[in-house]
Amino acid sequence: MFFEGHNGFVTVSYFITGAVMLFLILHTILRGRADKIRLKQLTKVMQADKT
Amino acid sequence: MEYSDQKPSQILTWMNRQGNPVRFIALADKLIPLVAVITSGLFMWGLYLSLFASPEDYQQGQTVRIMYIHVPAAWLAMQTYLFMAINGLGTLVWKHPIADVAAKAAAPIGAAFTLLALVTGALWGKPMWGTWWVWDARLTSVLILLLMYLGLINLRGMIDSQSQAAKLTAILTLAGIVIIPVIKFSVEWWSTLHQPASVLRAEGSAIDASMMWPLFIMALAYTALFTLLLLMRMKNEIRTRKILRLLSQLSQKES
Repeated sequence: MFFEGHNGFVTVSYFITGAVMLFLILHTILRGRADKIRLKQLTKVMQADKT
Repeated sequence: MEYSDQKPSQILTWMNRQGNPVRFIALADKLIPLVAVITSGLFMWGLYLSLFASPEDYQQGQTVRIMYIHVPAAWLAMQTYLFMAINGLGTLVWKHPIADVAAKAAAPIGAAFTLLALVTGALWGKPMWGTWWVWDARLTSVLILLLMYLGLINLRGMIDSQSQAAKLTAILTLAGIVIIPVIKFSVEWWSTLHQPASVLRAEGSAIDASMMWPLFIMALAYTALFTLLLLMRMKNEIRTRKILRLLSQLSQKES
């Protein structure tokens, strides 16, 4: 069992891997949302320009 | 025997259909939730096997558990580069509209996997070799791979014209593909501190099944995460390009 023979190198490795993966996922989701909002706003401006 | 070309043409037709960004976004919207569920499931299973169900190594003790996150990161670092090279070919030869989007979306993911392979490798190296880093062929070639990823991301950012950026990054990616066999065979060609291949080798795997299964599941989890991030980032990139097109239309109207 992992916790019986606690090893700092293993803990830090898994922590860093998790942190990098979480950062990648959150960055991708948040950038996607920001782009979606920006695209909606721009589409509205373009439509208002046409009318 | 009659030769039938039915299947390849169907695949090509399907690929061309997905070249339409609207169709691709519709497909990605369907796939993303499914891939997210598969990724979460594989990571839960893989982490359970890696941290709790797999045995200690008779020499390395608990430290062997770093292998389950280090090796898949290194595999994905190389696979992502190969994926980018195939897309570079798609951009240059077939001028597939989605190929450049895929290559651009994959680069930061590949860089992150390479960085993880280097950092977890250093954290594994310290207790096993007594040093964080040595300038041996395997470690140095992986560091070069990271620099190449960063160079490709930087090159794209420096060129304003999207079509020119696509072409130049595709050429650079294809030129850099030579690093992949160098990384793979560096442990055989040169005398290195890094151990030789123990999983993907002609004589078969040298790892016991009790350690091979967690490694295999974690590799699948990493691949699923790559697919998930790629689909999401490609969707983002298609939107970003649409925003840029609209902004240039607006500025043209204003001028």
